[in-house]
Amino acid sequence: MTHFGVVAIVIGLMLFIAHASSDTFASLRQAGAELSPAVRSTIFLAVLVGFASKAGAVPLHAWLPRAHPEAPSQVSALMSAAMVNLGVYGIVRVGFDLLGGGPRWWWLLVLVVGAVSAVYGILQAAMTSDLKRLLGYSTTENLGLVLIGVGAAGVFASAGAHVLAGLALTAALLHVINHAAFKTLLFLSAGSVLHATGLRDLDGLGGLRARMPVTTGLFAVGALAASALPLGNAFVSEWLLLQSLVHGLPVSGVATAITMPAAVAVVALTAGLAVATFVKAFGIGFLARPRSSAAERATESPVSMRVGMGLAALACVALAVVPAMVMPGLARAAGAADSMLGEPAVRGAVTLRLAGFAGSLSPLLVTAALLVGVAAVVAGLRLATVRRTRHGRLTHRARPTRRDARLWDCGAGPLTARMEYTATSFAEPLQRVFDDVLEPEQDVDVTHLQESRYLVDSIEYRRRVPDRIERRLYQPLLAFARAWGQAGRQLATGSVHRYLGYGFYAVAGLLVVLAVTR
Amino acid sequence: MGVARGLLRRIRATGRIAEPAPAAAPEGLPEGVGDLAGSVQVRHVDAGSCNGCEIEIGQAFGPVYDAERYGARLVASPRHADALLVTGPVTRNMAEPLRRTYEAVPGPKRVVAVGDCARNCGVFAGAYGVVGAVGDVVPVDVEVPGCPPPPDAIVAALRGLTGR
Amino acid sequence: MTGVTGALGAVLQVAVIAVGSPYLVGAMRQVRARLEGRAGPDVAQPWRDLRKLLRKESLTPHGTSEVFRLTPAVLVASTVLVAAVAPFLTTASPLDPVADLFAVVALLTLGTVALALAGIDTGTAFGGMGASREMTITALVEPTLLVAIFALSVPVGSTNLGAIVNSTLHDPARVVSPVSLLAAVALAVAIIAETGRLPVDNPSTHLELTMVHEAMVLEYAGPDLALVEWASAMRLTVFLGLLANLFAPWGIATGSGLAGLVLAVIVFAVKVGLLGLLLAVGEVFLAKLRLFRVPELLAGSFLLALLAVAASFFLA
Repeated sequence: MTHFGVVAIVIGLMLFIAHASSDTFASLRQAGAELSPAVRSTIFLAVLVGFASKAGAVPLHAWLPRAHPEAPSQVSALMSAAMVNLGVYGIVRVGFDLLGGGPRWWWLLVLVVGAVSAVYGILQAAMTSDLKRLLGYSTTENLGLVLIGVGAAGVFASAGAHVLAGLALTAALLHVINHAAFKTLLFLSAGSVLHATGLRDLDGLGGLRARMPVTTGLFAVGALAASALPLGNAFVSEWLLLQSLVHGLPVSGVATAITMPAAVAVVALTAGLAVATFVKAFGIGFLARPRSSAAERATESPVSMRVGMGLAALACVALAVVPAMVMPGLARAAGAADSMLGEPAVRGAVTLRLAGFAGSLSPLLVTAALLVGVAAVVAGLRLATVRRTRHGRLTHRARPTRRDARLWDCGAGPLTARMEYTATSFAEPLQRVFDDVLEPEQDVDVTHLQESRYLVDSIEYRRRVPDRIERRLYQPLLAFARAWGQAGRQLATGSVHRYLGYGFYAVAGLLVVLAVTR
Repeated sequence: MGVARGLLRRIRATGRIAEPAPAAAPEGLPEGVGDLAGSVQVRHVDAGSCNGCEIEIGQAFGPVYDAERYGARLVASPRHADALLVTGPVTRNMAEPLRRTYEAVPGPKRVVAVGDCARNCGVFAGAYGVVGAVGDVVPVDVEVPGCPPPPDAIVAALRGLTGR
Repeated sequence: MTGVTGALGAVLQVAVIAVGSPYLVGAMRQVRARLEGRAGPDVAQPWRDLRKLLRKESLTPHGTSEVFRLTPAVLVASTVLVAAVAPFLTTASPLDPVADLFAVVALLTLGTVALALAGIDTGTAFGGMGASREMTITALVEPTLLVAIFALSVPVGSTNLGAIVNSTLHDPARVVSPVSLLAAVALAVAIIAETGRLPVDNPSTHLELTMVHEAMVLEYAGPDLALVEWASAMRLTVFLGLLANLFAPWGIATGSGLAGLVLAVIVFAVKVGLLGLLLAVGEVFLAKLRLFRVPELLAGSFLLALLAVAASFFLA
């Protein structure tokens, strides 16, 4: 898969270099301006295919949710946080900088690829109950969002709306940084869980908040970020992305008028599903009670792991509260990508204000207000209880203000862990809603008692949500390749005579061809 | 649309069917009634009733007697409740659940024993599956006599708790 | 002077919503009771319920964590924050640039998420079930809300609530445009789903298996429950207030002057009261939808929102 991507990139760049007759960025940039449209488009498409596969974009994503979970967690973190970003860098560098923008359809293509990746990635993430696989699919989703931003920036730039292009590109790059921060944190926490329990399956986890409080708290920070809600860093970049799309509609053209609303719908749907996905990952994985003995025996990870997660969490929080600190860097990067960009797209330290458009948001104030609000409510409640005892109206049945009580089990026997909702059951309603897209496979095995077939001994329920694209696109492709390989093997029987014969026929054939053509 | 119009016509024709509220302040209130300040959330527990009392409780919260206007409301969880409305003699299987339900209610709390069975096991007294009256399992604050008790008696008992 | 009255307006907004929302719930119950032929409790009953709950003891269900204990506070805080920043009484609030419509929706979603996590945290079957259903509904409602917002902000050129409201005030004809009407219907459906009213969820159900919102709060008792109920009343008021002011902002205070602010309080109460009345009357005529029919309703509203966006471009 990745080899295929590399081949595509190499072909594209070789073609480019052949035309530029040098391989420095400066000469490529110069040559890029003089190429014929057909060659430019070929180069861009080849490079796009290559880098999109690097970024894990649909339909070239199949390797990502397989490779990322299998790697050790710190390597998964590196892959998801750093490696995929190279794909985005490649597209931006070649598309904007070296080829100097291009026709609108290039960028519409990027946008569509991004949109499909975002929705498909998050849908698969919402269904899976493997924690690291979930994070891997979430990478596809987030890179999809980034590609939507890059695509929108290209569309705006080709329409001449350079301020807007700068905004979209800034949003995309900010999301790259945010994603790197929270995905590092999430993979490291998943690694910590794996270290403590040996489990990746959410259906077997649970109850970790009492056993691994630090990991739980840090995963919560990452999950909040990944679900793009306030107090999380991805909220700021998704907000910027939505802003750029909202202001993009007046940019002329029917194509824009159709793509921008569709892009907003995709971002919105992705945001909604991401919330459900990460509520599942955090709620089922860390809260409630342990669903397996491995989760029950879990203990907090060593300090070295906690420090690593803590640093990543610190980055998340800093990015969430003062995103303005990376804005100058992003503005420089966006300026380097598109030379027509003038000033930075986003201004302000405490309150972010869009340059040239009416729109503002203050992550710092929102965060502070929420935290103060929560503290105030808790304090107010305590005050209310104090006043209650001073009035002395309830003294005849005075009790402590907080009493431990058993869980309400409808008065029946104790609630066991088997009665809890699992990740699979949590995702079931969503799976039903998106039944047509996901085509899940379910089977129910009912074992009857030997004495009577009316009495049930056990019922086994299995559900699998296969990656449809993988199944429809890759398996036929692989089958085809294998069939050709099989056919080719008949040529290589191991007989030396036969190989000498091949050589003779090849040389003779070549001579005949030369004789005819010369 | 036709259904909605028919329903609307019926609503207008029926008007108000709740009976006028009888004078407040029924006698024999338990001590410390004012605690709940005009709001009593009620959780109903069937501890082994023949379902006669259930029908009457249903009536008490129905449109005619309308216990809700006095601040009483049936709720789904004992955690939300202030009072338990227990019916029937307490059977062996329901004794522990009743105790647990009582434990699950946050204080201050009240228990209303509805019907003769709940008060003294009624006709089921001494039966092999019966543990005893409600008062033998959890502390009872108010008793509503009758087999089954009429809805207005149940409403009167609830008004005694809400104080309205 | 504008700054002072603006700040005063922001404080007043929070106070009006905090005090008034239980009365709204009471009024809606009263309307339903009347239509069902009952007398019903009076409008102050929800406040009586809250006062009583505050006097009761708190319970910590065995095995629950800080997530469960902090959720009521998060719910209240996020709703109060929205009540402070959105233009309910005045457009001159100094807090307007702090958060726009996207942020408001995200803040309200944050409350929903906290409640879902609290439901899971209890570890009971009903808590998990409620959380699963609530998140499924939220996952479908959030896109509708965002796309409808998009449709409303495109003609204005800004997602800031103050700007949208001001622009409608200056150009009243916009309210009857297809964009606005389609977006209004889409938003209304999304709000009904998000606040857990019929036909999506029955707020007065006693049957655990049909619950969505109620199933998540089954374990809360006493003061915690008071906060949850108060917050959900405020959320209802906030959503209805947003609907009212996005499509009919008249009466809102725009400049300085206390008279305008007083008038705004009265007009706001009337508008939200009317919407509440409409919702309560509608609920008498509706039965709860089957859970798996709800997504169809939400998909329909999503489609309407998309149509609104398309209209906002092609009819601009």
